[in-house]
Amino acid sequence: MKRIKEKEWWVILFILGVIVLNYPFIVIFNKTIFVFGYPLFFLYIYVGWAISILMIFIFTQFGGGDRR
Amino acid sequence: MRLLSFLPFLTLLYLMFLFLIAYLGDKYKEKGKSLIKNPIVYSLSLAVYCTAWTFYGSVGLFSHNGFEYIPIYIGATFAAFTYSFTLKKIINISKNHNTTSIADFISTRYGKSGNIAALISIMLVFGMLPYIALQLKAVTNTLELLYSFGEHPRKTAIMEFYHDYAFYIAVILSIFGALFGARKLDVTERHEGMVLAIAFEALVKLFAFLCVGVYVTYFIFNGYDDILRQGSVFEEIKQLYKIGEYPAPTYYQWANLILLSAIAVMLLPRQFHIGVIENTGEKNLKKAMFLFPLYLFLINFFVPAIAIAGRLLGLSPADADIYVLKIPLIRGNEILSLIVFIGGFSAATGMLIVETVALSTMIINHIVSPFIVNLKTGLDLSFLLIHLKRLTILLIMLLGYFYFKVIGETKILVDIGLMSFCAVLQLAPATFLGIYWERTNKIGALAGIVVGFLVWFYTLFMPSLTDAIPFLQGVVEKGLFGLEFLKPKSLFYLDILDIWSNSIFWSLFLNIFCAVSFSIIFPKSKTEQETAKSFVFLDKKDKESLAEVTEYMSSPPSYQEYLDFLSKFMGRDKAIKTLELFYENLGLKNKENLTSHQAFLLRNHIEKSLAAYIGSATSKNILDSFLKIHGTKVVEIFSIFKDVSESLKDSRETLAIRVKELSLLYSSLQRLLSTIDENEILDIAINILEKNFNMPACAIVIMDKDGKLRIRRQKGLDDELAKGIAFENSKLTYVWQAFESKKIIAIEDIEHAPFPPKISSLGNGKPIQSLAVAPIIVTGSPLGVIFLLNDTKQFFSEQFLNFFQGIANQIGLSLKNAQLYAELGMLNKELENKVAERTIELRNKSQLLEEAYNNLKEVDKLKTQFLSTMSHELRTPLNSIIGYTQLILDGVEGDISESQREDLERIERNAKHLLQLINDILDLSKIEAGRMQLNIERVELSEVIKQSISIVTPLIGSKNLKIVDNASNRSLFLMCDFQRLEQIFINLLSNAIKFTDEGSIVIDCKINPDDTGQSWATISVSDTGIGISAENLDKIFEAFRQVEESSTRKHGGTGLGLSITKRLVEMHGGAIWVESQMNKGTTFYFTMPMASEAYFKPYVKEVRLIQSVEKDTIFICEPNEFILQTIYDYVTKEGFSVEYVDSLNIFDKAKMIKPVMLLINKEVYKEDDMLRENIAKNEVLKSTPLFFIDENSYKDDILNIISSFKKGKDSYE
Repeated sequence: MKRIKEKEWWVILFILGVIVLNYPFIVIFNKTIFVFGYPLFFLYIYVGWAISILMIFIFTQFGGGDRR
Repeated sequence: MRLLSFLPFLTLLYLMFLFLIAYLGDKYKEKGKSLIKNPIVYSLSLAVYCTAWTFYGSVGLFSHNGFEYIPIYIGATFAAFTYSFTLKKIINISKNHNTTSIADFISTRYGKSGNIAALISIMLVFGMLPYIALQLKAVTNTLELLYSFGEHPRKTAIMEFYHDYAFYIAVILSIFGALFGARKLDVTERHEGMVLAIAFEALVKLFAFLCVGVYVTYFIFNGYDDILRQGSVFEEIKQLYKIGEYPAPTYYQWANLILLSAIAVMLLPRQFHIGVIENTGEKNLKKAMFLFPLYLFLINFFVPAIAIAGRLLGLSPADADIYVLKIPLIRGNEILSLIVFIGGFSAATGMLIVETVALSTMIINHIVSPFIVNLKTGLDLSFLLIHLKRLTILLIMLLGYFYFKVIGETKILVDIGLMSFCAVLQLAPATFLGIYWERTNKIGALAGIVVGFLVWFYTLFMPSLTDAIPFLQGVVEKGLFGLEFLKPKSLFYLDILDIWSNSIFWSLFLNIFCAVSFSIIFPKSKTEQETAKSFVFLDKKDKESLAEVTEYMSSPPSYQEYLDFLSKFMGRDKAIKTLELFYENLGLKNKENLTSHQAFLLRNHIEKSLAAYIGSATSKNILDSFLKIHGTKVVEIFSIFKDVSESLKDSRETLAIRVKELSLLYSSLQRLLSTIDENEILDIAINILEKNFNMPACAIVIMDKDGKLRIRRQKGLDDELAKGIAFENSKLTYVWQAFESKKIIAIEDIEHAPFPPKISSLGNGKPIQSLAVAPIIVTGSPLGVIFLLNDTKQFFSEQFLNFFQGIANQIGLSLKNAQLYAELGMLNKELENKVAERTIELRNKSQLLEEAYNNLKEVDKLKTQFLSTMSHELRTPLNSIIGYTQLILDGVEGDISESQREDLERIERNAKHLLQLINDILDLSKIEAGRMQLNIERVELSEVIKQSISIVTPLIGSKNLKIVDNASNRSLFLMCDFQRLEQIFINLLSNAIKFTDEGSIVIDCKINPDDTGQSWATISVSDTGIGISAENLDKIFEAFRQVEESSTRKHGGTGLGLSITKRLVEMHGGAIWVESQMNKGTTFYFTMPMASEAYFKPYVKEVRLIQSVEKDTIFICEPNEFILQTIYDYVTKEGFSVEYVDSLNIFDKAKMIKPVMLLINKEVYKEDDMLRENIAKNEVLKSTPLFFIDENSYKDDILNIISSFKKGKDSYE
């Protein structure tokens, strides 16, 4: 299979991020219930945000596929 | 409270420390080192995004609106995902164009429009003022809070400014900005000190916030979950834990804020300045992609905790904006309070410094500079501008301060920040459409920005002023002019949106709509097309090449003039460096006499360099007006190759069309090569020049034999002039120059040419403005030139000239072909003439020869007739004399006396001698006439010798002589004529007897073979006679000669014997020679061919064949009439008859006549299969000798063939 270019990875991640941390997706987690002692929405947003940063870190460190 | 009393001192100390850092940064820079060229500093400096609004405002926002602050940072994180194709591209473009700010960036994209730059600058100052005010407000408020904690707080907003700390801080920060943000006019030279200080401040604020976060969460409360759990007890806090319902952000707001912040994090003036202008490399950007979001995450991590803690600790919700500071204060933690204050202070000051520097750059470059430059003062502008810039920093800071005074404390921090974000949002369509969609044009961008900005002003900015300006209250509540659909907060009856979403939606929608639709409707200007391409395709080279073909400079300024001009902006040293760089890059040594294309490049270089100081829009305007004053115009010019170069970037279809055109051209060039007629070539060539170059005039000039160049074909020139003109060897005509130097010459503007052209006007009288001359070169030497003339100035691109030279070469090739062909024709003709001449000559000669031959033949005939007559007429009486004398001597007539007998015997002897003489003469003449025929046969030598001896023995008479035959002791056979050999022996023996008085005559024989394998008998006849003197040796074989005249008388003989002997020997193919010593003796040697079995058979066959020669016919097959005629002449002269044959008739002819030989053209024989077959099939022809006629050597061949036949005939007949 053809490898996805770095730039294309970034577009995919960007779109994914915008969808996952945006309306209407966030509605799923927009509840005042507590998970592990934290409000679900609070947990979702902060963990989601942290994962986003982690993704950027991984992709900048190891390239998007067009570099060996 | 002791520590807090040091507050002003501490603040000052912190500021001093900032100055020190900035100073160190700049010092390092001067040493050539860089402290900011690393991803951590770059990421930290990007955190200038987090201002006091973040530091204090986020907590305030959470306690009022829940998670509303989050999308502002999540949006910025998402933006990082796009850096590799947004920010990276913007950085690259910006570096390429030396842009100085976001306003400069956008205006450069739209044709370096000064209007757009000025508009954006003003708009941004408006948009950012609230933001600046917000920072000042934060600083003032927190300072006041600390200073008067526990006492009655002062109302800073209504205080006189000289009592206000904020005022002094504003001034100090202005000084900082002026010192470190406006050190130099050239903004593309980075402000390392400033950036380093900003990065340091980012560290401070993060540290401070984390301190207070940890303190609140883990020291006051038992962890994050503890705070959240405690908060959830209160319904009003619990409802902040989710979004979608008031007071938390709605879903629209959430989405809009993400969009807003993603754009703001790149386009805010300070973000653009730090992220783009001060960027130190792509590598840093890559690391910043995750470091910067990580920073945002960390600095926001404790926001909900602090906000909820503040409420739980019983603080008033109205003070939520300062919970961060107030919590440590109420808990009595002075040190932490100070840390927090410094953190907040650094957040505010960082933003203030960068923002004011960025804005002042815009103001100076896009508003002040164009104005000042137009004043045309003689001042050093660089000095003036840098100080004006510093002043502007202060002014902006103070404007912010007064805005803060006016708006006062009516708004909470976050609202002001968001308002600025929305203003910046209006730049997004122009920026992002600009770098991705080539069609976006200036009108579209301008319309979008203006409309977007007006909507922003109407729906967001104006409503924020209602408290200060009561008049606006009515507009906001009832709509403009009371029109309800114009109500700012629910425009066009769209009333489900909050104020932010409403403003963002309408402003952005109308902005994009205008930008797109106007861009589609209106066309782009030329300059815009170029910059648009360079932005969208981000290819420096494309831009340059486009500029090359579309623009052209008339009378460019001199080096000195440029230097003076540049010195005004950058100082003399920098100006010299800038210009030197240009000459160095182009490898030019001579500073003057640039070609107009180089002058154009220089102009672009200067514009670009100047752009770094005053922005590209201003730079272009200033340079244009400078050139205008100078009288220099930048004119668009026509170039046929423009569309070629553009087509490379255009669609495939356009390219296909162009390829088609080029292939048409190619086929016409092919046509050039298809003909070999020079005139036709010239006709085709001039048509190609006319059609393909589309110039008013073109011509083909060829070198004549007299060494002058003359126009052979032309279009568009005066006919009479073209006919009359001849270019001689002169350096002062372009035609001759191009011809001699074998180089193409292009004059783009005659006014600036070294000398005027020889032809100064076209056929229609228009003066010539530009020209191009290309030499026609073939295999290194020029044949002539082709030239193009134009009545307008024209830029000749390299591509164009290459193509032009290519056409010239093609014409040259064709002409050379034609010339070669013509020369070949002439050579052929010459050759033909020569052959004809020779033929006539030869015919004449052969006629003479024939005449001479006929004469000779006649003479020969006469001689033969004479001789035979003589022999008959002489012999008959002689024979009678001898006969009668013998009759008398025999006594038939009666007895005779002794004396009568003696007399009669004398008569008989003399008569016999006479008869012998006559016979000898007849023999000799017969030999010489070639009429002597040999009857060659196998002869036994001993038999001949025996017979010869018997004949000569009577001659010995009384002499004491004996003949010894040593040759006959073995059996030897010779191939010879018996009688002639006998004659030879008789001659030699009688000769020997004659000259030898006593002794012996010895006959001997030796055999030796020759090279060909033929064996020869060398026969010798030796005597012991008087001998022959050396000088006479070579004379003895001559006719009628004896060694001494007297000897004939003494020894008798005719003197013809040896002569006849020699000829007889030679007729047999042998040789004869003599060795002699006076008074000792003489030896004659002669050679004769030996007979052998092997030799015997073919010899006989050949003899038979040759015997029939004279009667027979030669068959000749030769297609060349001339050769045929010559051969005919030769062979008929030799007595042959001739039959012409070919492959068809040879068979029939051979039936009727038996040829003696076949003479056939070698090539015909090789190629004519039928002829070969016919010869091979026919019994007669098969055995007939076959000779080939070679066209090159037929004369010699024929002579050889004939002579060998003749010789054979003579020899063997």
